[in-house]
Amino acid sequence: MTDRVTFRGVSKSYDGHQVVAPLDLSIAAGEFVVLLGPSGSGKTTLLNMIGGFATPSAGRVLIDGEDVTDLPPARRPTATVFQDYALFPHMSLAANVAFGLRMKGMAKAERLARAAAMLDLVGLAGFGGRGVHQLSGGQRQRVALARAMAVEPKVLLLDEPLGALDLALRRQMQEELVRLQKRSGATFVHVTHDQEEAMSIADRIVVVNQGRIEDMGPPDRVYLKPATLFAATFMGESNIIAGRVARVNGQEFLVETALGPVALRGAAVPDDAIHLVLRPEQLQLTPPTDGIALGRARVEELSFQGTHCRCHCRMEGLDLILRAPVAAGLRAGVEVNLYAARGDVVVLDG
Amino acid sequence: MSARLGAWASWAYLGVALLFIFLPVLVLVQFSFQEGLAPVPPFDGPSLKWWAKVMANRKITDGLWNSLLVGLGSAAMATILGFLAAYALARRKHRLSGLYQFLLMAPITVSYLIIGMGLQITFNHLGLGKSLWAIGIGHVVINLPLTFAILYSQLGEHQANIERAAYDLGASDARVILEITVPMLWPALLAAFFIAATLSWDEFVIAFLMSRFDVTLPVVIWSMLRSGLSPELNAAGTLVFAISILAVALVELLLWRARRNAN
Amino acid sequence: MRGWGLKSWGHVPALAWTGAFFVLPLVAMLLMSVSERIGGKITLTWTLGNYQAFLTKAEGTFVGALVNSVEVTVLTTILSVLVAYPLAYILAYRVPVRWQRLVLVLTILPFWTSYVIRSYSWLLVLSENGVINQFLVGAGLLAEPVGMGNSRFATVLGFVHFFAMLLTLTIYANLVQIKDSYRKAAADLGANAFQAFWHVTLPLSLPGVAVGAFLTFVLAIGDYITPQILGGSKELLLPQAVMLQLGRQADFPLASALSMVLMLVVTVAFLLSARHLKMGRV
Repeated sequence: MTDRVTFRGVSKSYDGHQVVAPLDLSIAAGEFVVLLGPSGSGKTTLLNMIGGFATPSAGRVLIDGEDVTDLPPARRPTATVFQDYALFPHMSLAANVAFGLRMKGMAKAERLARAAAMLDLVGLAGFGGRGVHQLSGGQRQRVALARAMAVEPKVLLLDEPLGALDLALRRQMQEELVRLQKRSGATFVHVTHDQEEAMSIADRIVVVNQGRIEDMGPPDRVYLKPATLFAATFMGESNIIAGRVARVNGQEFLVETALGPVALRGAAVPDDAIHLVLRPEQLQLTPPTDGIALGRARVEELSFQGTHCRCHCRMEGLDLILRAPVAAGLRAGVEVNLYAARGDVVVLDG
Repeated sequence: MSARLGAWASWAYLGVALLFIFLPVLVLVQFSFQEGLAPVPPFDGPSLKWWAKVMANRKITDGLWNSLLVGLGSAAMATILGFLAAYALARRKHRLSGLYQFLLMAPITVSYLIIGMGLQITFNHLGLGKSLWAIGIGHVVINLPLTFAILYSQLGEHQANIERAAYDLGASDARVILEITVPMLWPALLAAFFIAATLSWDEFVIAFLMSRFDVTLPVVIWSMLRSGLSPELNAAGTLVFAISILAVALVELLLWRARRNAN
Repeated sequence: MRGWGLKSWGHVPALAWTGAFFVLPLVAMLLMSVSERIGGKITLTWTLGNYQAFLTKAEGTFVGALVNSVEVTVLTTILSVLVAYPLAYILAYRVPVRWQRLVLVLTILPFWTSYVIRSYSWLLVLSENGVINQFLVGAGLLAEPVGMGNSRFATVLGFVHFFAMLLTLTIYANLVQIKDSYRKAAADLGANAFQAFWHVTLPLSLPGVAVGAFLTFVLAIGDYITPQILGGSKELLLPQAVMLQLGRQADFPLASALSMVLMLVVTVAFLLSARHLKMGRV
């Protein structure tokens, strides 16, 4: 099976400044892919190169195996949902949704029926006659979605579409996006800087930073086993412990860290500078089976978060962040022993 | 205590300012209904005698039509040229964009008198005669910076995204301009056209320098003024005022409807 | 596919128009200002005689006209700002929001009277038998009616009437854009009403003042009608001097030289206000 979208050696520079380094990327048909990265990381440029709003400086973009690099947006089987929605202010909602169908030459009665059906799909049945300015932000979002989906694109491109919505509405729209994507079977490529949003909707997350792909994979894998330090810190909080491989002994090695020596399993090169990554919820107060003792820590600050307590712990030479169960009853000033399961520790180079 | 004093002072100032602003207009309108020869107190009207005289004055009615013609024509030209330029400069980075914008805006810093005189010298040299066309050409020059600036300011990144959405959905360049850009900018186009038309309708010095036989209304009024004060001038002035107010009301209505449709 | 290619040539017609009917005439005028009339024919001789004439001819009448023009224009600009600022402020902050548009329309309604007619109306108001004299004599403030037309006072008054409306618009437009939260923050940090105005609102509204003041300066210094109708012939302003050369004398070279001087003054004003605009932003 060919991939729906393929980047082959694609790079992009503006005025000599490289925003996308040469990269390859494949997106399968029916996949919900999220491009995740901070602002200025190049994720929107990647999206624009699929949609045809930006042309690569080098490399080719393929859709269903066909080279679309030089095709304008109108001739690509893609449709974009813009960050500011870009609804036509002088048209009714029905006319907005039917616009793409009109451009394809569909007869009026048919396209209006389709527009009504699309509005129904996004929960705006009967809104067709209204004007754009009568809508709330969430409703505009739905109309933009209906308009883009009405042309039945093979790839739907979403450029931070939920950025302007409040938290509750954003959660609701995230669920609806997933529902619509599964129902239509279209490929969705979604850009965001919100890692929680990325984790809750994506089949696959592509972490982008400084024009490079830092990590790529299913949300749980990217979260639990990040491939780079950037991925580890951008996808939620991480404790990063710098260290040096002191000794390698077959399938085991010893790392010198500020917390003392830590013995881990796996391959390593002696004298390598490495980092150990542990999520705050992976720090434990009681020794697990096959655990590592990290040492004694003093709880400096503590904030109640509902499901857990987030604690700043001071250790010899290092501060760690801990997510402790509320039931543990920690208070600022108490001393605890910290442990981690050996299998939870992620080892990263550099 | 001091807050109430401040509020009182505010309303007093507003009242005095409005009186200052309206004083000449009130005097103008009232004494257009004067019976006698002098448009100054005591008021001995009301009489429609001078109004009848104005309506029968061919110079005034001709000037009125000429002004309308030049105003609407030059405003249409300025709006079209301004739109084309604003669209091109807002939607594509040109190598000399900065210089182009500077050139297009430059006439706003030069007095009408100088623009008119320069045109007169140039037209003389080229052997082109004075005419309503010449006046219109000058009025396009002075209004182009305004129409360009108004329309350019309405062609920002949000509007560009709206156009991109239309391209994305399969519209051609021509359709995007005709079905998206122009309708989307309709209120701004209307406002630009109206401002240009008003300024042209009222412009004196270029019209004076560039006209010989066919003159516009401000020039007619000017020449009437040279033969002294008269209630006929009041009536002519009130007529101009009334027409302007009607135009303002009409445009406000159109703009209101355009906005309501957009809503 | 790329339709009409409007994006690549749309600016060309406007630029051509501006080039042919603005830049070219200015160049023609510049050349005219270094030409001479020799036997009724105008010849380009690259002479600076016209500029010399500006400085020396008719016992300094022209330099005097320039001085008068600058004085009247500066006075007009300052007075217009002083009249318009409180008005715009009251409109933006004292008048309830739903009445603002109506009051604004009312405030600039006389804008729509013809420019020539507006000066004429002031002539009526100020004349010896006009309403102001009637009022002052009636109230016992004046023993005898005084003709107030044909004076610098009348010119400035006519100018201020027109430009205060213009400035009210630009300042109001600026004031309503200043977020309420700035003033609230200033008050919250202990500023009294005057301090909040002086340190926050006023600096933020300076761009509106600068734009309006610059427009006032350019339009007023080049205006012929108001000084001609209201100022009369007692003192000459530069545009009147230019028109005199054009009309009676048909002395295009001298008129051009005078116009170039006028343009120079406006350019200086532009440079000054451009700097001021920057200061406003800091």
